[in-house]
Amino acid sequence: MKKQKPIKTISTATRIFTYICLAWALLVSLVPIVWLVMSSFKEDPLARPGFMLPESICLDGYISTFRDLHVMRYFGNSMWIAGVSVIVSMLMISMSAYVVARMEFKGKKIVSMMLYSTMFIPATALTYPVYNLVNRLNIYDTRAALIMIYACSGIAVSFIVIRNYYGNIPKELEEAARIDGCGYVQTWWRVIFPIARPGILTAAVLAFFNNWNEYYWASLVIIDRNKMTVPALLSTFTTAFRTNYNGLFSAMVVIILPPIILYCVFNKFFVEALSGGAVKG
Amino acid sequence: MKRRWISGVLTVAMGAALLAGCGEKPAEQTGTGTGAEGGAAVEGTETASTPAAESGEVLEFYHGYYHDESEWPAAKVMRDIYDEFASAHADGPVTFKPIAVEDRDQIVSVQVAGGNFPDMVDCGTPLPQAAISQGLVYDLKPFIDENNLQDAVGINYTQNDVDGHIYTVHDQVESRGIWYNKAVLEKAGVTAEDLTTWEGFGSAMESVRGLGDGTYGYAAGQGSLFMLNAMLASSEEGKALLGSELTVDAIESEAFAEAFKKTAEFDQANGSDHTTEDVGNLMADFNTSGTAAVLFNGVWNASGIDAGLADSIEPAIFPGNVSLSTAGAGLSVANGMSEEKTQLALEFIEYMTSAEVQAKIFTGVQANPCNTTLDLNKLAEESGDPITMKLADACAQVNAAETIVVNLNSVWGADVGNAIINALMESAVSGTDIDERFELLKQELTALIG
Amino acid sequence: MKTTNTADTGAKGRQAWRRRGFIFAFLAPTVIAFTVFYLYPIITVVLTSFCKWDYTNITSPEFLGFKDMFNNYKYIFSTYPYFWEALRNSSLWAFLGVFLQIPVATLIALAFSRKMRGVKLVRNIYIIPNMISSAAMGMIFLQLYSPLYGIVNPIIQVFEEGFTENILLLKGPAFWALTGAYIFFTGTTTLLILGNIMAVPQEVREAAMLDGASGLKQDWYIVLPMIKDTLRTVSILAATGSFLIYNEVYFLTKGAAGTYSISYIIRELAITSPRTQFGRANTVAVVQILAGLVIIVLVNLLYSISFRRKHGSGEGGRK
Repeated sequence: MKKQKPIKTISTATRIFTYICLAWALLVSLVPIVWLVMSSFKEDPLARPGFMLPESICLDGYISTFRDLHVMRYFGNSMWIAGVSVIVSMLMISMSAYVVARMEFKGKKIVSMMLYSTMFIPATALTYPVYNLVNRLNIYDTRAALIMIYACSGIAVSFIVIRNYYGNIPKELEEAARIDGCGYVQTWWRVIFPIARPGILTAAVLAFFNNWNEYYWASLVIIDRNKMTVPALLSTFTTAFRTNYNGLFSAMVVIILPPIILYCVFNKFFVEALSGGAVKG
Repeated sequence: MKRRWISGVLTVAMGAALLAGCGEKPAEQTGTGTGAEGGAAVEGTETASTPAAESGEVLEFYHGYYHDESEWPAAKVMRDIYDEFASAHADGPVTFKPIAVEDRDQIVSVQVAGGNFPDMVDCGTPLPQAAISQGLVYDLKPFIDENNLQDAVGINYTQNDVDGHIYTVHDQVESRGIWYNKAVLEKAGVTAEDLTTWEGFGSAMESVRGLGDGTYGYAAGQGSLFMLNAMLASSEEGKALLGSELTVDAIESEAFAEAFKKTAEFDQANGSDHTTEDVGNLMADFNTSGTAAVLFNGVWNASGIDAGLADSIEPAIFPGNVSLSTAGAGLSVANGMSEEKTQLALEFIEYMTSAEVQAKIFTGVQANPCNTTLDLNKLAEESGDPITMKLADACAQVNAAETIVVNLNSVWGADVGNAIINALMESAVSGTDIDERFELLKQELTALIG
Repeated sequence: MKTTNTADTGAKGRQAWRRRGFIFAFLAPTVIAFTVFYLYPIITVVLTSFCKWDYTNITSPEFLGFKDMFNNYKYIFSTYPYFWEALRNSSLWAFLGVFLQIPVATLIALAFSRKMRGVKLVRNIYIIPNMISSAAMGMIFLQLYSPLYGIVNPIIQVFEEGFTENILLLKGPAFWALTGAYIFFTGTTTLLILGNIMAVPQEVREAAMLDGASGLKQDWYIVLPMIKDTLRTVSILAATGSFLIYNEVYFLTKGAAGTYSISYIIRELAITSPRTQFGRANTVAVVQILAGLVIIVLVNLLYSISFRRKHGSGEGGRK
């Protein structure tokens, strides 16, 4: 209810500095995007390079992206694969992060070190062991393989985000639940999980972006084009024989659009997650 | 309420994920297996778990022609050729199943790492040596010899011969020469005649730069490797180097040093702003806008030329009467498949190299066919298509060159090729000490082959 | 057995068991995923770095023998031409992650935390580049840096007339061009920091205000120390992430002009080389994993030292 107060107390110097920061942020994020969108409207992007306005708006790239490339199918695949893997990994990690954040046990240090260490393990090193595993599980060339890989990768980031969020939840809440007779599982599911939802959502959206854009594994375990994910679209445009820049840029715009829309829809949750309001209550 | 709803969704989603995974498997059986012991066990269980492999066997064939027709019409032509074979053998004991994939070479390299090989694949990059050393690939030479297919497989017969075995047959030959823009040369006061020697080439490029209207010589970088490749071929010593794997002696040789330094000098004069690691980045300058005088690219570039420039762009071979022609990797068959499957695979190779299909590849795909019995010029005239005639001209010139050598990448390896390209690209920056960079490159290459 | 125990201790024992069971059950899925997906591959990587494993014996890596067990390491450290360059670049990127990317991200997060007009809009826009995969971003920047079509060369020409070189081929500038292609896109990091800034209780800010600390001063003395855990975490993420850079190298330079990175040479050795050097690639991977550990230790050290000092000076200021 003190909304007005901070505005008054911002000094001119701070204000100017803030606007410089904002201007920088705007510049950095808009240059590539605007350039990309503008180029996608140019019939021949190389003939009118840089920020030259297109002579006329050319939608050929978009039309062919939708008409010939079956984008909707790829979108469906990507949505399904990224979505399910995020759900699985969030469930998994919100469980283990809770235990690590709130309980004392032997080997706790080892478990957190283990999970942190996943940050700097190169995919190239994982390639063959994981590929063999996928083959042995008989899920080669299925969406399930990709779901499994995505659910298991990126553990570290999700773990850190969610664990930090748990860390902000007052211990009293749990104690109250325990006194009310809740078991461990119940306490987590009924009390902690709902409160931590914004944090988990943040982690989920971050993970979703990663999975949405992932191409290395997708190209490795999926052969059937009917099961390919959206980034595969990009590679279909860069053939050795000809370079269709108009099409390439259009496809790139199409690829980045869904996450942006998703972000706009989930914007509220982001703010909720960021403000930390739920915890204070 | 809400919580129960979420948990419901979670359970359903996870269940569905599992179902999706298990349910799809039988339909898309990847019958990859043959070869080494390790893989065999895995493959065994795989087949066992498949509910009745529908009595008949399937020969899976991976190829890279996945492009939509609107994007690359040739892909459709190739797919049609494959499908025709498939339908002709639809009633046979083995079903032929062509599968279009984006990264066939990755599939090969990953499968080879696991001791497997795809039933049949149209390789894009050289066959991994590991595949051959593990005995994963079928030797095609006996079949070719028995059926007198030497002329049908053409250059494959000699170039792909590894100690008396042939493991791969490419239905198209990767043939490279140069393409030049007559109008640009004319404006600069030079003729195509000047491009027949390297000295002439160098001064011609200088004249082009002298025009000062933004027109430049050629797209260097990736393209320069072909230039170096062709320069090597102009001396006996250099030609011998291209005959075998890279050795320390080759790195230290006079011919290699000369070829590198000359190329680097040309590149430096040409300017680093016209240098790229992927020639595709600058191809439009030559093919569409006509602002480059020369392009180092394969014969297939005929189909990339803009209609407006069709009259001024002509094919030629490299200075010194040299062309690059590489069979490269193509159709390869797994070792140890059932007799029927192997038989069908061999039949497919015969089909792909037959005069009839080869003619289709020439006119439809715009590539240099491997079958040497074809009369390309006649085919081109019959088609009446100006692009095909240009292609025929390019192919004929390449095939008739005094010296035909193989692409350096395919004998020395892509890592060596990349190292040379990087060294050339860095030398393109004005003021770079080429001798110094070359000494560095020698060290790099020596280490790479060690 | 427990018949003689009182009901109380029996319940406690049961309680302890239940607790243990809960911990186990909740950790199990993640630990299994870790074991299968990370631990097993790591062990493979470490073991095979002591093996001869290349195209000649791809299905059966062979131990080099105790006398020669470090052969791969010797090759990588003393013979392989790109290793030191790659290590230097990757380390420098990790350093820039901590000392450039995080400060920029923090400044922008602080700007976003102020309740001023336009903040919300800019915040929403700022996240967009992070949704573009680094592969696509690499392609975009390749065009932006193009000496013929790009927008970077015209800018340079304002300062240096007649400049026509390709900056991606100039030793030195190429490294910074690569850096510029990713380092300022800090959307997700900024949001993570912002989240914690917003969580700083209003009472604390007000108390600071009464002490005369407002605006930037307040940020420096009050807010930053309060979010130091988050800063440390995102610093570790930025450093390790930068250390692993691959796509930028692949799409922009392919390692030319001194821009090899550790991840890139791993792929060069394992995949690009026709001699398929798995053993040697894994040797580099071991170095990479160790470097990751070192980075975590260093960042932790950095934060514990610098914030101890800052905390002290903060108190001093208040007196």
